[in-house]
Formats: sequence, structure tokens, C-alpha cells
Amino acid sequence: MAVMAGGARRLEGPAKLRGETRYTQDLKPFGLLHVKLVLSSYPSARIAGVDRQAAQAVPGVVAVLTAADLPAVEVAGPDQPLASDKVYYVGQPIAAVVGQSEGAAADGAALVAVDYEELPAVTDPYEAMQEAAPKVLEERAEGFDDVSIHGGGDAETEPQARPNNVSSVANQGRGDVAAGLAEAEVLVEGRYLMPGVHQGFIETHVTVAAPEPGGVIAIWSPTQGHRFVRDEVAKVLQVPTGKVRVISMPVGGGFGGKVVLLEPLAALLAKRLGSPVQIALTRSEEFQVGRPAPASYTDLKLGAKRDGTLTALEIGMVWDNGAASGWHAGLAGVLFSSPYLVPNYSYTAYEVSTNKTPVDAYRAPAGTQAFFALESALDELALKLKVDPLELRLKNARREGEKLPDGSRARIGLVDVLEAAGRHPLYTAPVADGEGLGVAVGGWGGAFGAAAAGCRVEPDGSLTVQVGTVDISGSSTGLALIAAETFGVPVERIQVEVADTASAPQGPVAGGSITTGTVGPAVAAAAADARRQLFEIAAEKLEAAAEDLEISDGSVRVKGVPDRKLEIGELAMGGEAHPPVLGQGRTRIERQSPAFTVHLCRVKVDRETGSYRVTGYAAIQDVGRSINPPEIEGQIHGGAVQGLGRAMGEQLHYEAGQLRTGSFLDYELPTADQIPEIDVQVLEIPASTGIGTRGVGEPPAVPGPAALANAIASATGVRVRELPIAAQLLIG
Amino acid sequence: MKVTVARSLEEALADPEAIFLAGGTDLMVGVNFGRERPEHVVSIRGLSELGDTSVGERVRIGGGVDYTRVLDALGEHSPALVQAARTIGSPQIRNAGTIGGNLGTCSPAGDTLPVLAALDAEVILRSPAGERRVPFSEFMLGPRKSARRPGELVEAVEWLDAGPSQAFLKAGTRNAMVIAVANLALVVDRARKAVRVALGSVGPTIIRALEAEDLARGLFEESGWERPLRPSQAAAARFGELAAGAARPIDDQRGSAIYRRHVVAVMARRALARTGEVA
Ligand SMILES: Cc1cc2nc3c(=O)[nH]c(=O)nc-3n(C[C@H](O)[C@H](O)[C@H](O)COP(=O)(O)OP(=O)(O)OC[C@H]3O[C@@H](n4cnc5c(N)ncnc54)[C@H](O)[C@@H]3O)c2cc1C
Repeated sequence: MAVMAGGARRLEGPAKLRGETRYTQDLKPFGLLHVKLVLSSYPSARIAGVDRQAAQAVPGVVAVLTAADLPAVEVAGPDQPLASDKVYYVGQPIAAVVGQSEGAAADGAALVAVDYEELPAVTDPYEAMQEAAPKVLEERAEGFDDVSIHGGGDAETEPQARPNNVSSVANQGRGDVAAGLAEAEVLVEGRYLMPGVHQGFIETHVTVAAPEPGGVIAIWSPTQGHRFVRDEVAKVLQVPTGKVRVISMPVGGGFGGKVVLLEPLAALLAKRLGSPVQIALTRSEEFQVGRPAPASYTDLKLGAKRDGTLTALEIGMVWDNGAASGWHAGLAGVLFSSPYLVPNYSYTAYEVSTNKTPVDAYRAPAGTQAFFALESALDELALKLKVDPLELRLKNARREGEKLPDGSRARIGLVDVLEAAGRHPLYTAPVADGEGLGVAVGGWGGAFGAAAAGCRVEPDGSLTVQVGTVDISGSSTGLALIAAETFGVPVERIQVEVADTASAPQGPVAGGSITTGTVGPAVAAAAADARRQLFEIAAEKLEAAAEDLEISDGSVRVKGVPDRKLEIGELAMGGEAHPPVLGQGRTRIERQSPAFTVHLCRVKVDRETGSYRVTGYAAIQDVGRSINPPEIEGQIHGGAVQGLGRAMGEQLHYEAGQLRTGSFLDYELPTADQIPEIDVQVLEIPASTGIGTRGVGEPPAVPGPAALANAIASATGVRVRELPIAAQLLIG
Repeated sequence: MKVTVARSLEEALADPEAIFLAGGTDLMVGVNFGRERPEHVVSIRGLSELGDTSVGERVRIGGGVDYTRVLDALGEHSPALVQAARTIGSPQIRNAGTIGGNLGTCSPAGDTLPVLAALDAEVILRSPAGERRVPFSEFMLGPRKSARRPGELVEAVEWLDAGPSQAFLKAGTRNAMVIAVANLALVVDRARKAVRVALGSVGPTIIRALEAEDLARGLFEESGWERPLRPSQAAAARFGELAAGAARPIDDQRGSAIYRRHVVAVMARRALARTGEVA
């Protein structure tokens, strides 16, 4: 543990702080053309024509292109690079104005006149389910992203009769819910609403594509999954994956919202124009074109005995996916049933399509929504039963060794985080007048999947670790720590290279808290392999047995004979004398290691105006084995703030299909003055898989909304089941 | 689009069709959203003629003075305006945004506007024809509509120093970077025996709550203008009700009409308590 103790600050941090990092928007390849998109103004319309004359006359405009100018693609309507004949939401790209400068393209785009034939639209999911509502999607549309990225199981879907605009129904359950509810002595029941939200990253969507020799298209993208982008672009272009090369660029925030979006269009345009092109969204375009998180409506019934034993949980959910088929329902069903032992459980969820921007992933997709309802209900139950809210949870918590929803009996730390929360000063300190204290649990499934890694020893004695998974969270610094410890050199001697798709080993999309859990073991194996190879060479040169060698101070030494040593770089530079060092690691994690967390929230409410202030916040989280403490703390801070943001102010508010909160003035991200110090307490209960780590990124984004709602209920007696929590709901 | 950087008032006023650019914190938002595509923009940022401030019997703030400088220049004077300036946007917005811009945009949520109304300020407008003084009560005509004619510059705002008994309150969904759900300014000019209450964000224009003013005037009359005022709970409540009664709010995603009225009453009571203490 010598190397990892204390961890390391981000290896790429200094370059970012100094402004040296080159993001996608900083790329200026020779002959770069700029693209401005013409976006739909209607939630549903047929495109009768596009008048581009005026735009083409603008000096500096190179081309104005529509779907008709590009090869036909086999992509569902709302995800088409440019809408071919119909638009499904306000903001859907219709035409691309290509200019020598951003200004020329923008001036041209303002002059493109689209002739729309407005069609009936439906923007409310419950209205969409009515018989008479217009059909949003012609067929089930496969979105860009899919559930497997986020570590979810498949929804068990029922193919039989479904309400209008419902692309799939997820059904899960066990026991007999009706009986469980009948048996209950106390019942909590309610509908919980969460609006759609945007990931709010600083860097808006941007990509550069350029034609390369041999019919290859190169794409630079700050994507969370460059190999996924390659596959999607190849599919759209109908070319083999080898004809697409994707270069992973530094990600200025992703949170699930940056997997693939503009890349297929950029590739089509670059191919058509024979020049490099850049598409960069402005903030207001980002709000309309980017893929936000779905809104959700949760009908919940929770039954319990007087002694607090849970008897039944019944959930009905509606996911408002915008113009997408959606994929959250199956995941939420698993998450609802993961923390507590409820003998009778039933879950039915509808994936509903509406004429709004198609949705996709946002940090802990389905988790934040499920736990907001579940943890609010548990709090209400604790109040009804007049028991301590942590006690109630402990009584029903799934304990170590008990079967998880996936059938495994993996080691989990739910009880441990609950007990630690009970000892936390934020929990034990007396609650002042007008103050409230809330607790909520959050959980997440965690990593599974396959990954490979390479490890080279360089002539300067440093190590290059090659992986195929993008760093969105500081994960590469963690991987460097793993390699450093395994190999026996300081972390500064490690470079982690996220190679482009032409040379990257396999690795999952960076999402769902899986990078360290899946790629980490491969990196450890690759570093161990490289060390073994180096020892083989050194053994020969030093005339010693490989078992008698060790690495210290940048040299391979014979144990106990300090002078018999060779520098790592020298050994690696051996040239033709021996085979080079190139370590390989190939691993597959089969089962998830769920991670749990408890958040504690203190709030003060002004009962006259309803305004409130979070006065204290703590996060207690089981991280399995801790690889990099400073980055873990950073992840937990960031996740907690994002959860609080959804609780306090963020919402995509649409009126008649038009987004009313499409700027950072109206879309209220939390400001620094709204966020108190966040105390982070990390528990290390090693996972039974891989190198013992659990996912760290997702869990902290889960409990915030329920923790705040519960704190507010404790302060005011007002139970808020609708986010964001508005002052007007709290006046006394 | 033509851009002129004006070096003098004459240059700034040369084209009556031109759109002025001061801090750009409203104008550029409009351009970015495609709501505005001005043909000719005249930057007035560098004009020293719009930059003067003075305090005394009359207080004067140039139309080109940004909020950070308002805070510096006013110090202890006209505390309601200082409080309003402090709530505007963020440090970056306060470094760029100007009083002239707040008046130029004339949004019902503009935070300085209820204060200017409660101070009974005069807006000094300049055109090639000369200077025109318009009392604030005649300046704002509707949402984003004012008595300012095309090509007329807000040269400055002026008011009689009303002393320290003033308060500005703002209700919003968060504390910083927020458009008011409702705001309120109360000025008690003890020397001139005048009370003015103005409400923002609860109607198409800034609204003076005249009945509430009358009630407060009576209260000060009774307890003595030169002394602290400690109104009874009932009187304070009545003051709040009258202020709320003057509001003409609408529902939107920031807040319901009912909530806006409610919060006006609360802010009015609190403002009265604060100004009452300061004598
Ligand atoms: C992030 C953000 C937060 C904000 N927060 C607040 C807030 O909390 N409270 C608030 O009230 N406002 C807020 N605003 C709005 C804005 O900052 C203010 O209205 C500011 O006063 C505008 O001043 P400006 O100098 O930037 O005006 P500009 O944008 O330069 O101009 C605005 C309009 O006024 C005209 N104009 C400018 N100066 C003059 C002049 N001297 N004479 C005549 N016409 C003129 C311009 O032609 C234009 O039509 C915010 C804006 C942003 C972007």
C-alpha cells in the first residue's frame, strides 16, 4: 500500500489549472470549417421545404446542407443527424450551415427559412398515453445510448397491449403485494415527481471530424466512450469500424450526457465536404439539442407492521423520455428492491415518448429518481411509527450475505454506513428550533464487464499504461496508482494513455461508476505482467533468480545485495539483446458489487417566505477498497452537489414543447452560497470482485433530494414530493 | 452589423436608430438567443460623460456606472440602492451591468427600478435635442417599455437624498444569480415626512403601493418622524396586506401569483421593521 496511501492529486490537474489543456474547441486543423445548425422551432412538424438561398449568399458560407444532401441513414427519426422529413422536438437539427468562420455560419443559419407543416404534438406523458394522443415515434427507436453502459439489467418487458406512446413496460416483483399491503398496519402512499434535468457540464457538446487517407474519417470528441462513438458512426456511415478513428479528447464534464451526439453528423459533413469540420453548440443550443435526464412520476405504496417490519412495496412509474424510447425503467426496478428486504414487491413502469428533446443518461440514472421516492417514503413511515429513521432502515436493511436482486450474495456495506451515520455529529447534535435533520440512503449497482490494458516500459524508466476507457473523473490517476503500486515505481513515473480507437485496448464506456472496477484489474494485471517480463531480463543480466529481485529507487536489484542493480530504463533499452517489455492484462468482472451511502442534511427554513438554507451536510459512503482518497472525496462532493441541485432548483420546464429554462439564468444550478461544507466519511468494506473497489461516482448523486426533502419535513412538517423544492410550498 | 465605439456624446447620439451597448449583460443575452439582431450597435462603455457620480443634497449616478462602482460611490448613502446593487447577478455581472442598462431594458424584475421609484428619482435623458428629465413614475410604461425615445441616452439618474431609513428586499429561488420572484423597496424620508413603497416583479411595471404608504405615513406621524418606529403586530400586518393588495402578479415557473402576493406582504413587514429602527 506504500504507493497508494494518501493517493495522488490528478496527474493532469496542473495542465488544466494553467490553461494548457487542449480541449476539442481548441483544435484548429488547417482548413477547418464551422457548422451552425438550424434547429426546429416546433415540437412536431413535417418539413415541407428549406429555403437556403439567402444563407448561401452570405460571404463566408461554404454550404447549406440538409438530409437530402447527405447519404440516407438508417437511424430513428429523432436521432437522425439531420431531420429528413419530420421533426419530433423543438431543437432537432434540420440543416447544417457550413462557414469559413463561426460568425459566417451563424449569420447564414439565421437566414435559413424552414417551411413547417405543423403536426399535433403531445408533451405530457399522461396525455401521451391517451388513446387519442398523436403517435410520437413511428416505432420503438433505438437510442444512441443503452442500458448496458450503466450497468443495469434488462427490463422484463411485456409485449402485450400497451397504452399509446409506451415503448416498453418493465415488470418486476416477488411475493404477493396485495397480501403484503393487506397485512400492513401502517401505510405510506404518494406520487413523487422529478422534472427532467440537464447534466450542466461546463463544456457544451463539440466535435471535429476530418477525412483521412484511405477513406478513413477521424473524429476528435470529448466523449465518455470513444469506442462506442466509433461503432455508432460506422453504423450510420455504413462502413467497417476500421474506417472510423476516434480520438478521445479531455472531457469538460460528461455525467452521462456525452457519449455520442454530433459525431455522426460531423463525419457525414467532413466526408461530403472533404474538409475538417467543427460542430460546437452554444449553451442555449446545448439545452435543446443535448440529451438530458428524463422526468419521472412515481406512485408508491409502502406497508409496514407496527414494529417497523416492511411488508410490501408497490411501485408504478412513468418515465417521460421525450422523443426517445427510454431505458431507465428496468434499472429503477432493481434499485427499488436493492436496499431493503421487502417480502412483497411489485414494480411496473412505462417508458413514454413525448415531443420533447430525447433523453439519456445523467449520473446515477434511475437511481436518483428511485431513491427520492423510496427514501422519502421511509422517512414518512418513520414519522408515522415514531421511530428513529436510521433505526427503521437498519431494521429492514439487506445485510451482508443476504441475496441481492441479481441472485448473488456479494458483500455489501449498507448496515455499516447506516451505523456510521448514526454516530456522525451532524446526526447526534441537537436540532435547533426552526431547523430540520434529514437522512437518506442511496445505492448503485456497480461495475461489471470486460477490459484489457497494456503496459510498456519506456527508455527513461517510466511506464506507459494503455487503456481504452476515457477519464471523466480522475480515473486515469487512479489507474496510474494501481500500476505504480503493482510495478513498484512512484506514480509520477506512470503515463496513462487513452489511445485512439485504432490502437486502444477494449474498455467500457466511462459511465455507471465502472471504470476503476473493470479497467483497474486489467491495469494491475498488465503492470504485473510487465514486471515479470522485466525481472526475466534482469535475472539473466544480474545472474540471479527472478524471485530474488526487487524494484526500488527506479532500479531492479538483487535482494540483500544493494550494489547488484540495473536501472529500469537501461534494462528496457536493451535493444536487440532481449525481447522488449510489453505487459498485457485481460480481465472480466462478472458480478456487480453494490455500493451504499447515507447522506445527512440539516436545513433552516424561513417559515414566512419559505426560503431555506442547507446548513450542514455529510456523506458516508462505502467505497470498497479506496484507491485514491482525494479523488474519492472530490467525486462525493460533486455528486452531493448535483443531487442538491436537483433538489433545490434545476428543472427543464417546458410549455407547449418549448423549453422555458434554457439558460443558466433560468436553469438554476446551485450556487456556491447554497452549498455548505460537505463532510465526507469513507468506509472501506472490500468488494468481493476485481481489486476490491466499489463504484464511487454514482452513489453520491443519489440521496440528495430525499435527504433535503426529509430535512424540510423535519423542520416544517411539510412533506414535499415534487422537485425542485420551491419556497412557495413551505410557507407556514 | 455595424459597431461604433463612441468617443463622445455626439458620436453616441449620431444615429437615432442605433442600439446602445453598455455592459452588454442584457443586450448580448438577447443577441445570443436570437431575440435581437441590431443593425448598428454603439458602445457607450467608455464615455466619461455617463460615468459621474455625486452625493450630497442631490444624489446623481451616471447612466454608465456599473453596480460595483455604485456600491463604492454610494457607501452609506441611499442604502436601498446599495442593497439592490448587491443582489444583482454575480461579481462579474456587477462589474459590467449598469444602471443605464437596467433602465434601458426596463424589465419589471429590474432590481434597481423599485428603488428608483421609491426614491422618486428623475431619469435624465439626453438626445441631440438636449436634456429631458422624466420622473421615474412617468418613465416605465410596461414590461420593457419606457418613455425613452429611440436614440435617447440615459445620461444619469438623480434624487434628493432621503436619509438612511430605507430597505430593499428581494425574494428569489436562490440567493445569488437570481431574477426576483418579487422585490420591494421602502424609503422613509424622515426629514420630508414622506414614505414610498415600490414593488417589482409583481406586475407589468413597478407598482407604488399607495395605500400602504398612507398607512405607514400615519404610523410615523403618530410615533414621531424623528424616532424609531415599532408598529404593533396588527399595524405591521395591515401594512403587509396593503402592499400585497397593490401587487398584480402572474403565475410562472419561478413562483405562483399567490406566493408572490404572500411574499410581498412578508417583505413589506420586514422592510417596515428595518426602516423603523433607523432614525
Ligand atoms: C447572469 C445575469 C444575471 C443578472 N442578474 C440580474 C439581477 O439580479 N437583477 C437585475 O436587475 N438584472 C440582472 N441582470 C440583467 C442585467 O445585468 C441588468 O439589467 C443590467 O443593469 C443591464 O445593464 P448593461 O449595462 O449590461 O446593459 P446592456 O445589456 O448593455 O443594455 C441593455 C439595454 O439598455 C440599453 N442601454 C444601455 N445603457 C443605456 C443608456 N445609458 N441609455 C440608454 N439605453 C441604454 C441598451 O441599448 C439595451 O437595450 C442579469 C443579467 C445576467 C446576464
